[in-house]
Amino acid sequence: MAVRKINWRHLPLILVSIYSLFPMYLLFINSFKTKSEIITNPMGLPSVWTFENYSNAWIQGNYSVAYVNTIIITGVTVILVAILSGLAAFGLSHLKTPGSNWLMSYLFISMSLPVGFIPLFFMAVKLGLINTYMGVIIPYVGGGFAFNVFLLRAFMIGIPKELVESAKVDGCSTLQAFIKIIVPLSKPAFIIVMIFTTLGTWNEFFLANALLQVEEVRTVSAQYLSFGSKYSTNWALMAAGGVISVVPMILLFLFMTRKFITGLQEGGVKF
Amino acid sequence: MQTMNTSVKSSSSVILDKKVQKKHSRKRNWVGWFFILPGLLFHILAVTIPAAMSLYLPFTEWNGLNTPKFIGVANFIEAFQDSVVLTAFLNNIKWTLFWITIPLIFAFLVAYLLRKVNKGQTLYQATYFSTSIITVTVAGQIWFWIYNPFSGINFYLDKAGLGFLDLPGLTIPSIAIFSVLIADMWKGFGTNVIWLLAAMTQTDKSLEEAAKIEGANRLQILRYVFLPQLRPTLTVITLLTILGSFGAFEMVYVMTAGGPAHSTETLSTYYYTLSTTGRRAGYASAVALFQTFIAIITIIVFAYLRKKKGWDV
Repeated sequence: MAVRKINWRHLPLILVSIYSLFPMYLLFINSFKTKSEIITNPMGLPSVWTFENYSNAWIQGNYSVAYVNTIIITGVTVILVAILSGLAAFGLSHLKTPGSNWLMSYLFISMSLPVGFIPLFFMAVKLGLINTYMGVIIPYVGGGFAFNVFLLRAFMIGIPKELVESAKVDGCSTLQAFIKIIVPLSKPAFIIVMIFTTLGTWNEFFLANALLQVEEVRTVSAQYLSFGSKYSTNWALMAAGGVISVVPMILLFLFMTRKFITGLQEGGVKF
Repeated sequence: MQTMNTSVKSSSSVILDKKVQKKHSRKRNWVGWFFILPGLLFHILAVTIPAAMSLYLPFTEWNGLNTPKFIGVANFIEAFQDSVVLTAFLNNIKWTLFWITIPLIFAFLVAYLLRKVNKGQTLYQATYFSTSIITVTVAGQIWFWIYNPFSGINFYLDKAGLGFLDLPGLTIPSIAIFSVLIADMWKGFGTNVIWLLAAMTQTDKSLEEAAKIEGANRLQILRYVFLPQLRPTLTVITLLTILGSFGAFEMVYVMTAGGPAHSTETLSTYYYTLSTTGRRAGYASAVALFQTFIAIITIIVFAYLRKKKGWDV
Protein backbone atom coordinates (compact mmCIF):
# COMPACT_ATOMS: atom_id res chain seq x y z
CA MET A 1 0.00 0.00 0.00
CA ALA A 2 2.99 2.27 -0.27
CA VAL A 3 2.06 3.55 -3.70
CA ARG A 4 -1.49 4.78 -4.03
CA LYS A 5 -2.87 3.25 -7.15
CA ILE A 6 -5.20 5.32 -9.25
CA ASN A 7 -8.56 3.62 -9.55
CA TRP A 8 -8.80 2.27 -13.11
CA ARG A 9 -12.56 2.84 -12.98
CA HIS A 10 -12.00 6.55 -13.52
CA LEU A 11 -11.10 5.90 -17.14
CA PRO A 12 -14.46 4.51 -18.32
CA LEU A 13 -16.30 6.91 -16.04
CA ILE A 14 -14.52 9.87 -17.56
CA LEU A 15 -15.36 8.60 -21.03
CA VAL A 16 -19.03 8.48 -20.02
CA SER A 17 -18.66 12.01 -18.66
CA ILE A 18 -17.38 13.16 -22.02
CA TYR A 19 -20.37 11.51 -23.67
CA SER A 20 -22.61 13.51 -21.34
CA LEU A 21 -20.85 16.82 -21.60
CA PHE A 22 -19.73 16.92 -25.23
CA PRO A 23 -23.13 17.85 -26.75
CA MET A 24 -23.49 20.62 -24.17
CA TYR A 25 -19.97 21.78 -24.95
CA LEU A 26 -20.96 21.98 -28.62
CA LEU A 27 -23.96 24.14 -27.78
CA PHE A 28 -21.92 26.43 -25.58
CA ILE A 29 -18.92 26.80 -27.83
CA ASN A 30 -20.88 27.41 -31.01
CA SER A 31 -22.91 30.16 -29.41
CA PHE A 32 -19.77 32.32 -29.48
CA LYS A 33 -18.90 31.77 -33.14
CA THR A 34 -20.07 33.59 -36.21
CA LYS A 35 -22.47 31.81 -38.50
CA SER A 36 -19.76 31.27 -41.11
CA GLU A 37 -17.16 30.00 -38.68
CA ILE A 38 -19.42 27.19 -37.51
CA ILE A 39 -19.35 25.71 -41.01
CA THR A 40 -15.57 25.63 -41.24
CA ASN A 41 -14.94 24.87 -37.58
CA PRO A 42 -17.94 23.16 -36.00
CA MET A 43 -16.25 21.63 -32.95
CA GLY A 44 -13.18 23.61 -32.02
CA LEU A 45 -12.91 26.75 -29.93
CA PRO A 46 -13.96 29.97 -31.66
CA SER A 47 -11.15 31.96 -33.24
CA VAL A 48 -12.89 35.17 -32.15
CA TRP A 49 -15.36 35.12 -29.27
CA THR A 50 -18.44 37.02 -30.36
CA PHE A 51 -21.33 37.86 -28.09
CA GLU A 52 -23.50 39.21 -30.86
CA ASN A 53 -25.45 35.97 -31.11
CA TYR A 54 -26.73 36.45 -27.61
CA SER A 55 -28.16 39.91 -28.14
CA ASN A 56 -29.63 38.83 -31.49
CA ALA A 57 -31.18 35.68 -30.05
CA TRP A 58 -32.53 37.57 -27.05
CA ILE A 59 -34.34 40.03 -29.33
CA GLN A 60 -35.33 37.79 -32.24
CA GLY A 61 -36.45 34.98 -29.94
CA ASN A 62 -38.49 37.45 -27.90
CA TYR A 63 -36.76 36.07 -24.82
CA SER A 64 -37.48 39.02 -22.56
CA VAL A 65 -41.18 38.12 -22.78
CA ALA A 66 -40.58 34.38 -22.58
CA TYR A 67 -38.42 34.83 -19.49
CA VAL A 68 -41.07 36.83 -17.65
CA ASN A 69 -43.73 34.27 -18.60
CA THR A 70 -41.64 31.36 -17.43
CA ILE A 71 -40.67 33.05 -14.18
CA ILE A 72 -44.30 33.87 -13.35
CA ILE A 73 -45.59 30.40 -14.25
CA THR A 74 -42.77 28.62 -12.44
CA GLY A 75 -42.98 30.87 -9.40
CA VAL A 76 -46.73 30.54 -8.94
CA THR A 77 -46.61 26.80 -9.54
CA VAL A 78 -43.82 26.23 -7.03
CA ILE A 79 -45.53 28.31 -4.33
CA LEU A 80 -48.89 26.63 -4.84
CA VAL A 81 -47.30 23.18 -4.91
CA ALA A 82 -45.41 23.80 -1.68
CA ILE A 83 -48.46 25.17 0.17
CA LEU A 84 -51.14 22.82 -1.13
CA SER A 85 -49.12 19.60 -1.13
CA GLY A 86 -47.67 20.49 2.25
CA LEU A 87 -51.09 21.03 3.81
CA ALA A 88 -52.45 17.84 2.28
CA ALA A 89 -49.44 15.80 3.38
CA PHE A 90 -49.97 17.13 6.90
CA GLY A 91 -53.63 16.15 6.75
CA LEU A 92 -52.66 12.68 5.63
CA SER A 93 -49.89 12.14 8.16
CA HIS A 94 -50.82 13.82 11.44
CA LEU A 95 -54.54 14.51 11.53
CA LYS A 96 -56.09 11.02 11.42
CA THR A 97 -58.33 12.18 8.63
CA PRO A 98 -61.07 9.65 7.96
CA GLY A 99 -60.81 8.10 4.52
CA SER A 100 -57.14 8.96 4.19
CA ASN A 101 -56.11 5.41 3.35
CA TRP A 102 -58.69 5.35 0.60
CA LEU A 103 -57.47 8.69 -0.70
CA MET A 104 -53.86 7.53 -0.62
CA SER A 105 -54.56 4.48 -2.75
CA TYR A 106 -56.53 6.62 -5.17
CA LEU A 107 -53.64 9.08 -5.47
CA PHE A 108 -51.23 6.20 -5.95
CA ILE A 109 -53.25 4.76 -8.82
CA SER A 110 -53.76 8.15 -10.44
CA MET A 111 -50.01 8.65 -10.46
CA SER A 112 -49.28 5.76 -12.78
CA LEU A 113 -51.83 6.65 -15.44
CA PRO A 114 -50.93 8.62 -18.56
CA VAL A 115 -51.90 12.29 -18.67
CA GLY A 116 -55.47 12.99 -19.76
CA PHE A 117 -54.09 15.42 -22.28
CA ILE A 118 -56.99 15.65 -24.71
CA PRO A 119 -59.70 16.43 -22.14
CA LEU A 120 -57.32 18.91 -20.49
CA PHE A 121 -56.67 20.64 -23.76
CA PHE A 122 -60.31 20.95 -24.73
CA MET A 123 -61.39 21.89 -21.20
CA ALA A 124 -58.91 24.74 -21.47
CA VAL A 125 -60.37 25.69 -24.85
CA LYS A 126 -63.92 25.70 -23.48
CA LEU A 127 -63.05 27.58 -20.30
CA GLY A 128 -61.05 30.18 -22.18
CA LEU A 129 -57.82 29.15 -20.50
CA ILE A 130 -55.84 28.80 -23.71
CA ASN A 131 -53.05 31.38 -23.77
CA THR A 132 -53.41 32.14 -20.07
CA TYR A 133 -51.00 31.37 -17.24
CA MET A 134 -53.71 29.62 -15.23
CA GLY A 135 -54.28 27.25 -18.14
CA VAL A 136 -50.94 25.59 -17.47
CA ILE A 137 -50.57 26.31 -13.76
CA ILE A 138 -53.67 24.31 -12.82
CA PRO A 139 -52.48 21.10 -14.51
CA TYR A 140 -48.93 21.60 -13.23
CA VAL A 141 -50.08 21.89 -9.61
CA GLY A 142 -52.75 19.20 -9.93
CA GLY A 143 -50.61 16.81 -11.95
CA GLY A 144 -47.72 16.83 -9.46
CA PHE A 145 -50.01 16.78 -6.43
CA ALA A 146 -50.03 13.02 -5.82
CA PHE A 147 -46.28 12.57 -6.13
CA ASN A 148 -45.44 15.59 -3.99
CA VAL A 149 -47.92 14.59 -1.30
CA PHE A 150 -46.33 11.14 -1.12
CA LEU A 151 -42.87 12.56 -0.81
CA LEU A 152 -43.80 15.11 1.85
CA ARG A 153 -46.00 12.69 3.76
CA ALA A 154 -43.23 10.09 3.91
CA PHE A 155 -41.05 12.72 5.51
CA MET A 156 -43.68 14.13 7.89
CA ILE A 157 -44.54 10.70 9.21
CA GLY A 158 -41.10 10.63 10.79
CA ILE A 159 -41.95 13.67 12.91
CA PRO A 160 -43.22 12.57 16.33
CA LYS A 161 -46.93 13.13 16.82
CA GLU A 162 -46.30 14.29 20.37
CA LEU A 163 -44.74 17.50 19.05
CA VAL A 164 -47.96 18.48 17.33
CA GLU A 165 -50.08 17.31 20.24
CA SER A 166 -48.11 19.28 22.80
CA ALA A 167 -48.22 22.39 20.62
CA LYS A 168 -51.98 22.07 20.55
CA VAL A 169 -52.06 21.69 24.31
CA ASP A 170 -50.09 24.92 24.51
CA GLY A 171 -52.86 26.65 22.63
CA CYS A 172 -51.79 26.39 18.99
CA SER A 173 -54.48 25.81 16.40
CA THR A 174 -53.93 22.91 14.00
CA LEU A 175 -52.82 25.31 11.28
CA GLN A 176 -50.39 27.05 13.62
CA ALA A 177 -48.96 23.70 14.63
CA PHE A 178 -48.39 22.96 10.94
CA ILE A 179 -46.68 26.26 10.28
CA LYS A 180 -44.62 26.40 13.46
CA ILE A 181 -43.61 22.78 13.87
CA ILE A 182 -44.13 20.67 10.76
CA VAL A 183 -42.89 23.13 8.14
CA PRO A 184 -39.54 23.93 9.80
CA LEU A 185 -38.89 20.25 10.52
CA SER A 186 -39.83 19.17 7.00
CA LYS A 187 -37.67 21.81 5.35
CA PRO A 188 -35.39 19.32 3.56
CA ALA A 189 -38.38 17.59 1.97
CA PHE A 190 -39.95 20.92 0.99
CA ILE A 191 -36.71 22.03 -0.64
CA ILE A 192 -36.53 18.85 -2.68
CA VAL A 193 -40.14 19.21 -3.81
CA MET A 194 -39.57 22.84 -4.70
CA ILE A 195 -36.38 22.42 -6.69
CA PHE A 196 -37.79 19.52 -8.70
CA THR A 197 -41.00 21.46 -9.32
CA THR A 198 -38.94 24.42 -10.47
CA LEU A 199 -36.95 22.25 -12.85
CA GLY A 200 -40.01 20.41 -14.14
CA THR A 201 -42.06 23.56 -14.68
CA TRP A 202 -39.30 25.55 -16.32
CA ASN A 203 -38.61 22.72 -18.76
CA GLU A 204 -42.19 21.54 -19.26
CA PHE A 205 -43.04 21.29 -22.92
CA PHE A 206 -45.96 18.92 -23.52
CA LEU A 207 -48.71 21.16 -22.13
CA ALA A 208 -46.97 24.50 -22.56
CA ASN A 209 -46.58 23.98 -26.28
CA ALA A 210 -50.25 23.07 -26.73
CA LEU A 211 -51.88 25.55 -24.35
CA LEU A 212 -49.66 28.58 -24.82
CA GLN A 213 -49.98 29.25 -28.50
CA VAL A 214 -49.06 32.91 -28.90
CA GLU A 215 -45.64 34.40 -28.26
CA GLU A 216 -46.94 36.76 -25.58
CA VAL A 217 -47.46 33.87 -23.15
CA ARG A 218 -45.02 31.18 -24.28
CA THR A 219 -42.44 29.78 -21.88
CA VAL A 220 -38.77 29.53 -22.87
CA SER A 221 -38.96 25.81 -23.58
CA ALA A 222 -41.91 26.15 -25.95
CA GLN A 223 -40.61 29.42 -27.34
CA TYR A 224 -37.33 27.76 -28.32
CA LEU A 225 -39.23 25.43 -30.64
CA SER A 226 -40.88 28.28 -32.54
CA PHE A 227 -37.58 30.14 -32.55
CA GLY A 228 -35.93 27.03 -33.99
CA SER A 229 -38.46 26.66 -36.77
CA LYS A 230 -37.79 30.25 -37.84
CA TYR A 231 -34.00 30.29 -37.66
CA SER A 232 -33.08 26.62 -38.00
CA THR A 233 -30.38 27.36 -40.55
CA ASN A 234 -28.59 29.85 -38.33
CA TRP A 235 -26.94 27.52 -35.87
CA ALA A 236 -24.99 30.30 -34.14
CA LEU A 237 -28.23 32.04 -33.25
CA MET A 238 -29.87 28.76 -32.23
CA ALA A 239 -26.94 27.86 -29.98
CA ALA A 240 -27.11 31.22 -28.21
CA GLY A 241 -30.87 30.88 -27.79
CA GLY A 242 -30.35 27.41 -26.37
CA VAL A 243 -27.85 28.65 -23.81
CA ILE A 244 -30.23 31.45 -22.84
CA SER A 245 -33.02 28.90 -22.36
CA VAL A 246 -31.09 26.56 -20.11
CA VAL A 247 -28.83 28.86 -18.10
CA PRO A 248 -31.23 29.42 -15.16
CA MET A 249 -31.66 25.69 -14.58
CA ILE A 250 -27.94 25.02 -14.98
CA LEU A 251 -27.30 27.64 -12.29
CA LEU A 252 -29.94 26.13 -10.03
CA PHE A 253 -28.36 22.73 -10.54
CA LEU A 254 -24.84 23.99 -9.83
CA PHE A 255 -25.96 25.66 -6.61
CA MET A 256 -28.03 22.74 -5.41
CA THR A 257 -26.28 19.72 -6.92
CA ARG A 258 -26.26 17.76 -3.69
CA LYS A 259 -29.96 18.44 -3.07
CA PHE A 260 -30.83 17.21 -6.55
CA ILE A 261 -28.87 14.02 -6.12
CA THR A 262 -30.07 13.17 -2.62
CA GLY A 263 -33.59 14.01 -3.74
CA LEU A 264 -33.30 11.55 -6.61
CA GLN A 265 -31.73 8.89 -4.41
CA GLU A 266 -34.53 9.12 -1.88
CA GLY A 267 -37.17 9.21 -4.58
CA GLY A 268 -35.62 6.13 -6.14
CA VAL A 269 -35.53 4.22 -2.90
CA LYS A 270 -39.09 5.13 -2.06
CA PHE A 271 -40.74 4.13 -5.31
CA MET B 1 -33.34 1.70 2.81
CA GLN B 2 -33.09 2.51 6.47
CA THR B 3 -35.12 5.66 6.14
CA MET B 4 -37.68 3.71 4.22
CA ASN B 5 -37.88 1.00 6.85
CA THR B 6 -38.41 3.49 9.60
CA SER B 7 -41.04 5.30 7.64
CA VAL B 8 -42.80 2.02 6.90
CA LYS B 9 -42.65 1.07 10.55
CA SER B 10 -43.94 4.41 11.69
CA SER B 11 -46.70 4.35 9.11
CA SER B 12 -47.86 0.97 10.38
CA SER B 13 -47.80 2.33 13.91
CA VAL B 14 -49.81 5.28 12.64
CA ILE B 15 -52.47 2.87 11.46
CA LEU B 16 -52.43 1.20 14.87
CA ASP B 17 -52.70 4.54 16.63
CA LYS B 18 -55.55 5.39 14.38
CA LYS B 19 -57.47 2.30 15.39
CA VAL B 20 -56.87 2.91 19.07
CA GLN B 21 -57.76 6.57 19.03
CA LYS B 22 -60.56 6.44 16.53
CA LYS B 23 -63.19 6.35 19.26
CA HIS B 24 -61.78 9.31 21.13
CA SER B 25 -61.31 11.82 18.40
CA ARG B 26 -63.85 11.03 15.75
CA LYS B 27 -65.39 14.50 15.84
CA ARG B 28 -62.20 16.50 15.26
CA ASN B 29 -61.00 14.14 12.56
CA TRP B 30 -62.78 15.90 9.75
CA VAL B 31 -60.56 18.97 10.17
CA GLY B 32 -57.97 17.09 8.11
CA TRP B 33 -60.07 17.45 4.99
CA PHE B 34 -59.73 21.25 5.13
CA PHE B 35 -56.01 20.70 4.71
CA ILE B 36 -56.38 18.18 1.93
CA LEU B 37 -59.19 19.72 -0.11
CA PRO B 38 -57.53 22.80 -1.67
CA GLY B 39 -54.79 20.72 -3.26
CA LEU B 40 -57.15 17.89 -4.06
CA LEU B 41 -59.31 20.35 -5.97
CA PHE B 42 -56.42 21.02 -8.36
CA HIS B 43 -55.84 17.31 -8.62
CA ILE B 44 -59.50 16.69 -9.46
CA LEU B 45 -59.48 19.40 -12.11
CA ALA B 46 -56.22 18.30 -13.66
CA VAL B 47 -56.33 14.52 -13.23
CA THR B 48 -59.66 13.08 -12.13
CA ILE B 49 -62.03 14.87 -14.48
CA PRO B 50 -59.75 14.44 -17.51
CA ALA B 51 -59.33 10.75 -16.65
CA ALA B 52 -63.09 10.30 -16.43
CA MET B 53 -63.64 12.20 -19.67
CA SER B 54 -61.02 10.16 -21.46
CA LEU B 55 -63.15 7.09 -20.78
CA TYR B 56 -66.14 8.63 -22.53
CA LEU B 57 -64.64 10.75 -25.32
CA PRO B 58 -63.28 7.79 -27.34
CA PHE B 59 -66.87 6.82 -28.08
CA THR B 60 -67.75 10.21 -29.52
CA GLU B 61 -67.19 12.30 -32.60
CA TRP B 62 -66.01 15.66 -31.34
CA ASN B 63 -64.18 18.61 -32.82
CA GLY B 64 -63.58 20.08 -29.38
CA LEU B 65 -66.13 22.87 -29.75
CA ASN B 66 -69.67 21.55 -30.12
CA THR B 67 -71.25 18.85 -27.98
CA PRO B 68 -69.60 15.42 -28.31
CA LYS B 69 -71.78 13.11 -30.39
CA PHE B 70 -71.96 9.47 -29.30
CA ILE B 71 -70.94 7.16 -32.13
CA GLY B 72 -70.18 3.89 -30.34
CA VAL B 73 -67.01 2.03 -31.23
CA ALA B 74 -66.54 3.63 -34.65
CA ASN B 75 -63.35 5.38 -33.50
CA PHE B 76 -61.82 2.11 -32.39
CA ILE B 77 -62.68 0.44 -35.68
CA GLU B 78 -61.02 3.33 -37.48
CA ALA B 79 -57.98 3.13 -35.19
CA PHE B 80 -57.49 -0.56 -35.89
CA GLN B 81 -57.47 0.14 -39.61
CA ASP B 82 -55.23 3.18 -39.30
CA SER B 83 -51.73 2.27 -40.41
CA VAL B 84 -50.26 5.22 -38.49
CA VAL B 85 -51.58 3.78 -35.23
CA LEU B 86 -49.81 0.53 -36.03
CA THR B 87 -46.56 2.32 -36.86
CA ALA B 88 -46.87 4.36 -33.68
CA PHE B 89 -47.57 1.29 -31.58
CA LEU B 90 -44.59 -0.55 -33.07
CA ASN B 91 -42.43 2.49 -32.41
CA ASN B 92 -43.54 2.46 -28.78
CA ILE B 93 -42.58 -1.23 -28.65
CA LYS B 94 -39.18 -0.45 -30.16
CA TRP B 95 -38.81 2.41 -27.72
CA THR B 96 -39.59 0.09 -24.81
CA LEU B 97 -37.29 -2.70 -25.98
CA PHE B 98 -34.48 -0.23 -26.45
CA TRP B 99 -34.92 1.50 -23.10
CA ILE B 100 -35.18 -1.67 -21.01
CA THR B 101 -32.00 -3.05 -22.55
CA ILE B 102 -29.22 -0.77 -23.77
CA PRO B 103 -29.62 2.31 -21.52
CA LEU B 104 -30.50 0.19 -18.52
CA ILE B 105 -27.50 -2.13 -18.91
CA PHE B 106 -25.34 0.89 -19.62
CA ALA B 107 -26.57 2.65 -16.48
CA PHE B 108 -26.09 -0.54 -14.50
CA LEU B 109 -22.47 -0.88 -15.63
CA VAL B 110 -21.76 2.78 -14.91
CA ALA B 111 -23.30 2.50 -11.44
CA TYR B 112 -21.40 -0.75 -10.86
CA LEU B 113 -18.12 0.99 -11.62
CA LEU B 114 -19.09 4.08 -9.69
CA ARG B 115 -19.82 2.00 -6.59
CA LYS B 116 -16.13 1.40 -6.04
CA VAL B 117 -15.13 5.00 -6.60
CA ASN B 118 -14.97 7.20 -3.55
CA LYS B 119 -13.35 10.32 -4.90
CA GLY B 120 -15.70 12.31 -7.09
CA GLN B 121 -18.66 10.00 -6.82
CA THR B 122 -21.08 12.89 -6.47
CA LEU B 123 -19.36 14.79 -9.25
CA TYR B 124 -19.80 11.87 -11.64
CA GLN B 125 -23.45 11.50 -10.70
CA ALA B 126 -24.00 15.22 -11.19
CA THR B 127 -22.32 15.07 -14.59
CA TYR B 128 -24.48 12.20 -15.78
CA PHE B 129 -27.64 13.80 -14.48
CA SER B 130 -26.78 17.23 -15.90
CA THR B 131 -28.10 16.22 -19.32
CA SER B 132 -31.56 15.90 -17.80
CA ILE B 133 -31.44 19.54 -16.69
CA ILE B 134 -31.45 20.74 -20.29
CA THR B 135 -34.92 21.42 -21.57
CA VAL B 136 -35.97 18.95 -24.24
CA THR B 137 -36.35 21.50 -27.02
CA VAL B 138 -32.72 22.53 -26.64
CA ALA B 139 -31.48 18.96 -26.20
CA GLY B 140 -33.33 17.94 -29.34
CA GLN B 141 -31.85 20.84 -31.25
CA ILE B 142 -28.30 19.88 -30.23
CA TRP B 143 -28.79 16.33 -31.48
CA PHE B 144 -30.56 17.57 -34.55
CA TRP B 145 -27.42 19.43 -35.35
CA ILE B 146 -25.12 16.52 -34.51
CA TYR B 147 -27.06 14.46 -37.03
CA ASN B 148 -26.91 17.20 -39.66
CA PRO B 149 -25.16 15.62 -42.65
CA PHE B 150 -23.45 18.87 -43.67
CA SER B 151 -22.12 20.19 -40.39
CA GLY B 152 -22.45 17.51 -37.71
CA ILE B 153 -20.47 14.42 -36.80
CA ASN B 154 -20.85 12.92 -40.26
CA PHE B 155 -19.02 15.88 -41.79
CA TYR B 156 -15.98 14.98 -39.72
CA LEU B 157 -16.29 11.27 -40.32
CA ASP B 158 -16.44 11.83 -44.06
CA LYS B 159 -13.47 14.16 -43.92
CA ALA B 160 -11.45 11.53 -42.07
CA GLY B 161 -12.37 8.92 -44.66
CA LEU B 162 -14.57 7.08 -42.18
CA GLY B 163 -17.77 7.68 -44.12
CA PHE B 164 -18.94 4.13 -43.41
CA LEU B 165 -19.35 5.10 -39.73
CA ASP B 166 -21.82 7.85 -40.62
CA LEU B 167 -24.69 8.22 -38.20
CA PRO B 168 -27.89 7.43 -40.03
CA GLY B 169 -29.58 10.59 -38.81
CA LEU B 170 -33.16 11.60 -39.15
CA THR B 171 -33.80 11.54 -42.87
CA ILE B 172 -34.08 7.79 -43.45
CA PRO B 173 -37.52 6.71 -42.20
CA SER B 174 -36.56 3.21 -41.10
CA ILE B 175 -33.73 4.32 -38.83
CA ALA B 176 -34.89 7.76 -37.75
CA ILE B 177 -36.54 6.42 -34.60
CA PHE B 178 -33.22 4.99 -33.39
CA SER B 179 -31.50 8.31 -33.92
CA VAL B 180 -34.14 9.88 -31.70
CA LEU B 181 -33.65 7.09 -29.16
CA ILE B 182 -29.92 7.72 -28.95
CA ALA B 183 -30.63 11.38 -28.16
CA ASP B 184 -33.24 10.36 -25.60
CA MET B 185 -30.83 7.96 -23.93
CA TRP B 186 -28.23 10.70 -23.66
CA LYS B 187 -30.79 12.88 -21.90
CA GLY B 188 -32.24 10.26 -19.58
CA PHE B 189 -29.70 7.64 -18.49
CA GLY B 190 -28.32 9.68 -15.56
CA THR B 191 -31.38 9.18 -13.38
CA ASN B 192 -31.05 5.42 -13.71
CA VAL B 193 -27.39 5.60 -12.71
CA ILE B 194 -28.29 7.52 -9.56
CA TRP B 195 -31.13 5.15 -8.64
CA LEU B 196 -29.08 2.03 -9.26
CA LEU B 197 -26.10 3.38 -7.37
CA ALA B 198 -28.34 4.29 -4.43
CA ALA B 199 -29.64 0.72 -4.39
CA MET B 200 -26.14 -0.75 -4.78
CA THR B 201 -24.71 1.13 -1.83
CA GLN B 202 -27.44 -0.35 0.34
CA THR B 203 -26.66 -3.96 -0.50
CA ASP B 204 -25.31 -6.18 2.23
CA LYS B 205 -21.52 -6.07 2.02
CA SER B 206 -21.04 -9.07 4.31
CA LEU B 207 -22.83 -11.39 1.87
CA GLU B 208 -20.38 -10.35 -0.79
CA GLU B 209 -17.43 -10.97 1.53
CA ALA B 210 -18.79 -14.37 2.46
CA ALA B 211 -19.20 -15.34 -1.19
CA LYS B 212 -15.66 -14.20 -1.88
CA ILE B 213 -14.30 -16.36 0.93
CA GLU B 214 -16.29 -19.31 -0.39
CA GLY B 215 -14.38 -18.86 -3.64
CA ALA B 216 -17.04 -17.35 -5.86
CA ASN B 217 -15.71 -15.36 -8.78
CA ARG B 218 -16.82 -11.88 -9.70
CA LEU B 219 -19.49 -12.96 -12.15
CA GLN B 220 -20.94 -15.46 -9.70
CA ILE B 221 -21.10 -12.80 -7.00
CA LEU B 222 -22.79 -10.46 -9.42
CA ARG B 223 -25.29 -13.08 -10.50
CA TYR B 224 -26.14 -14.79 -7.19
CA VAL B 225 -25.41 -12.22 -4.51
CA PHE B 226 -25.65 -8.81 -6.06
CA LEU B 227 -28.51 -8.97 -8.55
CA PRO B 228 -31.05 -10.59 -6.23
CA GLN B 229 -30.59 -7.75 -3.78
CA LEU B 230 -31.12 -5.19 -6.52
CA ARG B 231 -34.22 -6.84 -7.89
CA PRO B 232 -36.73 -4.53 -6.17
CA THR B 233 -35.02 -1.47 -7.61
CA LEU B 234 -34.57 -3.04 -11.03
CA THR B 235 -38.24 -4.01 -11.03
CA VAL B 236 -39.39 -0.49 -10.26
CA ILE B 237 -37.03 1.05 -12.82
CA THR B 238 -38.24 -1.39 -15.45
CA LEU B 239 -41.87 -0.62 -14.67
CA LEU B 240 -41.28 3.13 -14.83
CA THR B 241 -39.26 2.71 -18.02
CA ILE B 242 -42.03 0.75 -19.73
CA LEU B 243 -44.68 3.23 -18.65
CA GLY B 244 -42.46 6.09 -19.80
CA SER B 245 -41.73 4.39 -23.11
CA PHE B 246 -45.39 4.02 -23.95
CA GLY B 247 -45.82 7.68 -23.18
CA ALA B 248 -42.75 8.68 -25.21
CA PHE B 249 -43.40 12.10 -26.61
CA GLU B 250 -41.08 15.01 -26.07
CA MET B 251 -37.87 14.01 -27.81
CA VAL B 252 -39.79 12.64 -30.79
CA TYR B 253 -42.00 15.67 -31.15
CA VAL B 254 -39.10 18.07 -30.87
CA MET B 255 -36.75 16.27 -33.24
CA THR B 256 -39.03 14.92 -35.94
CA ALA B 257 -42.64 15.75 -34.97
CA GLY B 258 -43.44 12.18 -36.04
CA GLY B 259 -41.92 12.47 -39.50
CA PRO B 260 -40.60 11.72 -42.02
CA ALA B 261 -43.92 10.37 -43.31
CA HIS B 262 -45.16 9.34 -39.84
CA SER B 263 -42.22 6.92 -39.51
CA THR B 264 -41.24 8.10 -36.02
CA GLU B 265 -44.76 8.69 -34.77
CA THR B 266 -45.53 7.35 -31.29
CA LEU B 267 -48.99 6.99 -29.79
CA SER B 268 -48.48 10.21 -27.84
CA THR B 269 -47.23 12.32 -30.73
CA TYR B 270 -50.05 11.00 -32.90
CA TYR B 271 -52.88 11.86 -30.56
CA TYR B 272 -51.19 15.14 -29.69
CA THR B 273 -51.13 16.21 -33.33
CA LEU B 274 -54.59 14.80 -33.99
CA SER B 275 -56.10 16.82 -31.18
CA THR B 276 -54.16 20.09 -31.31
CA THR B 277 -53.95 20.66 -35.04
CA GLY B 278 -56.38 18.06 -36.38
CA ARG B 279 -59.15 18.92 -33.91
CA ARG B 280 -60.28 15.31 -33.88
CA ALA B 281 -60.75 15.03 -30.12
CA GLY B 282 -62.89 11.89 -30.18
CA TYR B 283 -60.62 9.87 -32.41
CA ALA B 284 -57.48 11.12 -30.67
CA SER B 285 -59.01 10.04 -27.35
CA ALA B 286 -59.47 6.53 -28.71
CA VAL B 287 -55.75 6.39 -29.50
CA ALA B 288 -54.96 7.80 -26.05
CA LEU B 289 -57.22 5.25 -24.38
CA PHE B 290 -55.32 2.50 -26.15
CA GLN B 291 -52.17 3.89 -24.54
CA THR B 292 -53.84 3.98 -21.12
CA PHE B 293 -54.95 0.40 -21.65
CA ILE B 294 -51.35 -0.71 -22.23
CA ALA B 295 -50.25 1.15 -19.10
CA ILE B 296 -52.91 -0.57 -17.01
CA ILE B 297 -51.98 -4.00 -18.39
CA THR B 298 -48.33 -3.32 -17.55
CA ILE B 299 -49.19 -2.29 -14.00
CA ILE B 300 -51.38 -5.37 -13.52
CA VAL B 301 -48.61 -7.67 -14.77
CA PHE B 302 -46.14 -6.08 -12.37
CA ALA B 303 -48.59 -6.24 -9.48
CA TYR B 304 -49.13 -9.92 -10.28
CA LEU B 305 -45.40 -10.67 -10.44
CA ARG B 306 -44.89 -8.83 -7.21
CA LYS B 307 -47.53 -10.84 -5.43
CA LYS B 308 -46.91 -14.20 -7.04
CA LYS B 309 -43.14 -14.17 -7.10
CA GLY B 310 -42.69 -12.04 -4.04
CA TRP B 311 -40.79 -9.32 -5.89
CA ASP B 312 -41.35 -6.97 -3.09
CA VAL B 313 -40.87 -3.33 -3.90
